[in-house]
Amino acid sequence: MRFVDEFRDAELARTLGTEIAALAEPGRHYKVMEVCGGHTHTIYKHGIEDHLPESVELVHGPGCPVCVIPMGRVDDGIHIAKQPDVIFTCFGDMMRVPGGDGSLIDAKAEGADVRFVYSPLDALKIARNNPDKEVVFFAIGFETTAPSTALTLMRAKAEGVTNFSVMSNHVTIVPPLMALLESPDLRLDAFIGPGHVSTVIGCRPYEFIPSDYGQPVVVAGFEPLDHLQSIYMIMRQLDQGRSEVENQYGRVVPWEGNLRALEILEEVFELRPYFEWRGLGFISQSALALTDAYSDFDAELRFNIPGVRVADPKACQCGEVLKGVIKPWECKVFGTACTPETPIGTCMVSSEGACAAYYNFGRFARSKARAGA
Amino acid sequence: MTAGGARVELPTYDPQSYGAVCATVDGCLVCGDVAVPVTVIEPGEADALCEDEHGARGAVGVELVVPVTEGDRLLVHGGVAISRLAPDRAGDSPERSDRPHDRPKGSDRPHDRAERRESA
Repeated sequence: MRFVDEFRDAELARTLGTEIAALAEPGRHYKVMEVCGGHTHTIYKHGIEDHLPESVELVHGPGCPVCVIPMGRVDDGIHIAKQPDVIFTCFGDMMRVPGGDGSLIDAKAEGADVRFVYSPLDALKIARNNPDKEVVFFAIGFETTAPSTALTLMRAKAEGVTNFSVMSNHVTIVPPLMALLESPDLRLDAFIGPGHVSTVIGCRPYEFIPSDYGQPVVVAGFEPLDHLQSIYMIMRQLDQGRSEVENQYGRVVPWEGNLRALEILEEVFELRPYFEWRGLGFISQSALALTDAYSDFDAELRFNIPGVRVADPKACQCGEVLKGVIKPWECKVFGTACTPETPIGTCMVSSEGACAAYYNFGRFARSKARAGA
Repeated sequence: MTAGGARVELPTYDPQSYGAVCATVDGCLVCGDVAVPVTVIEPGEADALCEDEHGARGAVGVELVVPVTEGDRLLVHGGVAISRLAPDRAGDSPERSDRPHDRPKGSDRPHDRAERRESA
């Protein structure tokens, strides 16, 4: 298959692994964070770590939008979903994220009209087809997804659709990176930058990482060889004493991003003063709310939501996992009380969450390693 | 699927929906930052009929990448095309060579968070 098979060549993967090992300085330990949940998924699904020397450690970052949703926002969504004459729409994985009192799929089982969609445009279509209902879209995602929400709102406004609104939980990628870089308990050597987020925002927003923190960033694609090549490029920078932003995913990511997408984001969204991230706490200017021009479509204004902050379950260590402080299997409830079927924490919900990815693809390897040790 | 002991019937795919294009990739499209390469079959200004690698067809919002013409290769996320596959790079193979990266020479501008925030 074009764009897939050629990026899964085992021989090239082995060669890249050898070259990465050759660039590793003896006695030095390298910690490289992949920001994006899709990269985490690739690492475990394709066994990327098996091609790396032991001195190169991959740390999983907060780039899964489902995983960083705080429980209180889920409860707010459920509150809206349970209102009469409401059709509540969201992306599939969001349905299973536990709030303080159940998930959206629990609410659906109890009678609420909750539907999953693949696109906010599908939610708008539901609104057009159900003029006697209030259709709400629970928007999540980074800058990759926010343009599709913005485009949908622009169409809704142009068409004069009045029974459609959005509860925006869109977040931005740079503020959490800054929070991680300022975190005293996390020492990283480099970042693997998100691929499709960068399709929208381009590569320039990451330039503060090498300039202010001296760490390389390589924007990477999602196939196994994309990932290994990006690690090779990082190791080459470190070997040569360089730190800059490089773009491994040039076949898709323009350096300046998608200017049209950035324009519509500016028209529809504005930065919230602060937003709560699961595990990372409140981060200023890290999330998007609707601008005044689109306030008629703001579900948070249209419905009276509780807005109560809910503490994460004590046993759950998603926060430490999201910050890369602990590995998924080091969480007390990983694979026992918390599994993909009965998730306690959000990292176990999405297939791109570090815990679910590891549970699905990596736990046996880890068990083997432990047995060997 | 069960939830809270109750059986929940999930909706079926609408073959004309964006999901038909995106459902071929495993994982959550949002969490996985998934984008699907498609080919334009019938161009349009707002939506275009597109086909993915498996032959699945669906309408895709193309306002962020217009103009599009038949045969263009796009990358779709959440039913909306967010990028084009660069024609001169679409066939790039990921060799382990020192492929030049995309950073334009002489573009060592300092990062500008304020500008990016404005954009957001």
